Amino acid sequence: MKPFVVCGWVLFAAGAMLDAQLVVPQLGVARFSDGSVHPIRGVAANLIVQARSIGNADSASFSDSIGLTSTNGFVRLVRPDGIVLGEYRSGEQQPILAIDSAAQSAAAWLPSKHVLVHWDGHQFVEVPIDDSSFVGRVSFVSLKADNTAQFFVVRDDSSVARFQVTLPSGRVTSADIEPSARGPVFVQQGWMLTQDAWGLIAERANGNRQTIQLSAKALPASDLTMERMSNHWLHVSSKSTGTDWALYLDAGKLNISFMPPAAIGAAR
Amino acid sequence: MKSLLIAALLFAANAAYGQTTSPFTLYVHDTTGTLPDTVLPSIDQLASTPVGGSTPLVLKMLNTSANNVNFVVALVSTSSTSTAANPNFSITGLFQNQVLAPGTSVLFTVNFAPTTAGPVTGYLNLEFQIQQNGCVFSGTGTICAGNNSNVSTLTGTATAPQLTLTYQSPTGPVVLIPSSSSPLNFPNTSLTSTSPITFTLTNPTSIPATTPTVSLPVINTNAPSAFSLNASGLPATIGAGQSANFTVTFAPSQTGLASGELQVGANIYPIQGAGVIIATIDALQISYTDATGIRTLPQAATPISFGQVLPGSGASSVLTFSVLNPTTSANSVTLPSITVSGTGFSVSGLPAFPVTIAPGNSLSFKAAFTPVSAGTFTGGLTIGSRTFSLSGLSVSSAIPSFSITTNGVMSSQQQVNLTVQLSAPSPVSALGTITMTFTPSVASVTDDPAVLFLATGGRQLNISLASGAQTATYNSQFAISFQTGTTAGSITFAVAFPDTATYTQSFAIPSATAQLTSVQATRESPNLLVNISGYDNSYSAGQLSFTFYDTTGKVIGSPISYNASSGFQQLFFTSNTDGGLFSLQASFPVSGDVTQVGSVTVGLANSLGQATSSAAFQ
Repeated sequence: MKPFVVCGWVLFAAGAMLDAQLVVPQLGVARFSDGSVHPIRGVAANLIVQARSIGNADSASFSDSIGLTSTNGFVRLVRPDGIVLGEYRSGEQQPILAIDSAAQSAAAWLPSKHVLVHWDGHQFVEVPIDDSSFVGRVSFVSLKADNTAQFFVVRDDSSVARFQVTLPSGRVTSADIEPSARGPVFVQQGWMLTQDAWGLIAERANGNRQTIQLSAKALPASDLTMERMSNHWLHVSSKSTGTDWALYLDAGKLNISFMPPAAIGAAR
Repeated sequence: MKSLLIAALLFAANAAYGQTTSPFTLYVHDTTGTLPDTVLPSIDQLASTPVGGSTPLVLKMLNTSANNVNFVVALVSTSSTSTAANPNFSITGLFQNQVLAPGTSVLFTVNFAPTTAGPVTGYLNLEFQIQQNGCVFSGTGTICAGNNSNVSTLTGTATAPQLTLTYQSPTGPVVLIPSSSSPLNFPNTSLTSTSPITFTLTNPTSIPATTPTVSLPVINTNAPSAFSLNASGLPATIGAGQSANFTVTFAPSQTGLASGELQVGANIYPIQGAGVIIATIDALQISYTDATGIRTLPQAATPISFGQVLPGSGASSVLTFSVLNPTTSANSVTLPSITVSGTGFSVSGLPAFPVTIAPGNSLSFKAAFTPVSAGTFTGGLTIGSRTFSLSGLSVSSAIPSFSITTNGVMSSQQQVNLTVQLSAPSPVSALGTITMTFTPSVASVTDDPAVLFLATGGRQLNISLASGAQTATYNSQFAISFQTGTTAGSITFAVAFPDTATYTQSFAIPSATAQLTSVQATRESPNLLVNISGYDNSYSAGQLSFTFYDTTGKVIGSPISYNASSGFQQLFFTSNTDGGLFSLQASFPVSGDVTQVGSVTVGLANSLGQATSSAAFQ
């Protein structure tokens, strides 16, 4: 977005010269149940799914500026307009994709290979991970600026353990139980999200916990799929009801909206 | 059970805690939103429930005190002072150690699941800490005292055991457990084949039992079911020690996992199966599109519905079918024929047969339902060896007058539910449509694409009316959700059923001041950046103002104003496809220390007034 520019402004001396450039708010990028990936415009409770698909994917994760997709065993670093910046042949059908903000936060956990792949600014780099202590299924992974990665692992009894791993050694340096989490977790904007019978439970480290009811009828276990649409928006979809939602998250609030399907969307 | 044990241990550990008045008010909550919340009485009579069954009671727990409260645990015990869990109850959906601020609430469910017949009494107890007088819930400092409180006595009657439901597996009969997290798996099935499973209802008691209703409820409102039910052999009652059978058939027409539910009485049994490619023709992806543009992936188990047509009027209901051999397919597929059967059904636009469809290619044709008399019509469609059943309805209805009600505020940027209600129960079943049109009140603006039904993203839905019902449904749902967009104007809904006058009702979306939905302020020395998103439903926004404050809250200098009218006009009136939405970034070069600037208040004026919003610099 081209900004307004105020020139000659010496610590709040007026004299504004603004070069106006107004655009439509880009809300994020979402993958729909048929695999098509579409940009979303709008604000809360007013979502416009762009008819143009930027590709197809088995899973996707986007920030405001960059995204990761996985399609037929290929992990790709893509811009929100669909331009592919990098590609890695993972051979993994269900990698766990992670992205926070910049491209250097992009990572993919390949459970069958015990490898974390991340973007170093130029290419994807493989880091073997010693996951022998995980004893469960990784449901979420994130790459930190201090050359560490966090893995959230769901155990057989549905409890959740968080492992910190140093890179590039791939060694586990700490493991903690998330006492209030049960089942697969997703983390965004400091909120840890899990599914309960009626919808979502969102919790912050300070104990702030909110329930978001999505259904009047109990949802099956592991019914909800969560994928990042952008820095502040999360796509939540229900396999059993075929319903899509967009959840806004920041430090202070959560706001859920229904999301129209991509089948017709703005192409009507 | 594990959570109950944990709860019991916590109660035991805190047995010395004092009984006190609960800071919570508990309400009986209707999750469908139909009924208002009602305060949970001190003695609550639960519905009679058979042994082996379960009756849920959804409760809303609201912190009505003026303090933060750390909710520790809830338990239904065997007496008002006992810490022993009552085996006839369980609590789900509630997390332990949850801090609730004043005025906040959580939902949880008490399940009455009796284990032995007869009257049952349970005592709902809560354990909590109240944050007052500087105490803390954990860590260093004075720990807030723990308290528990008996909030309600729950009574109910456990009736005779339920009928048992079994099916025959290769290793013998298997008893099905309601609401199991492990669905019953049907065999992987070719798209040209079916897999039936016969279920047996057994009455193990010494008295005849009324046969419960058996059904396959709709769980995905956007897709036909891959399962069909034949319960025609079930008697009205099952004698003592007797059994009766019914059959569920998995008949997929799409590859991949298909899920469903089998409902027997109040019990739900998850079921699933996978459609797989075995025969070459299984690779063909078959879909159809109706007149409203909605595309559907049919399943052989569910008849393809042509809707309702007036008899003898010459009118037709037409579906356009697509038969695609996907690019991922290994082989070309040759179809010897496409045929239709049944009175009133026809096909057109067929190619010459045999026809070969190479990978990546497709063919399309139309199927029509043109009834000549009133009644319910059935037929069949055969595409090679892939078969589908067809249905159509032809009636002259006498539907009572209807109206539309909405549950939300009719203004911009809303997602609202509407219902189509009749003045009296309908004497007939009928299929109709609801269509929405949007008329902007802003000059030179013709539409807002965000005004749409949320179920499909379109502006027309097929709705149905059951005989005896007083509310129309879309895919079994009473509430029909739609978006109001970000443009002032009016939304008009038109409800049409065959042989009835079309009913229309309009709702105004009034013009309003601009809305700043997001203001974010960041320091990027030597600049201050202010990102603003929002909408102006009058399309008349122009004057922007920015007032800066230092970190102590004092205004710095004078507000900076900028007339952005031309920019807004260009956005709103040049190739606009997004309504009144806008986003902008304002950059302010600063000579000095940007960290002295603490916050900014943004103002935006339109023809109806000024909107303001503030943000702290990060």
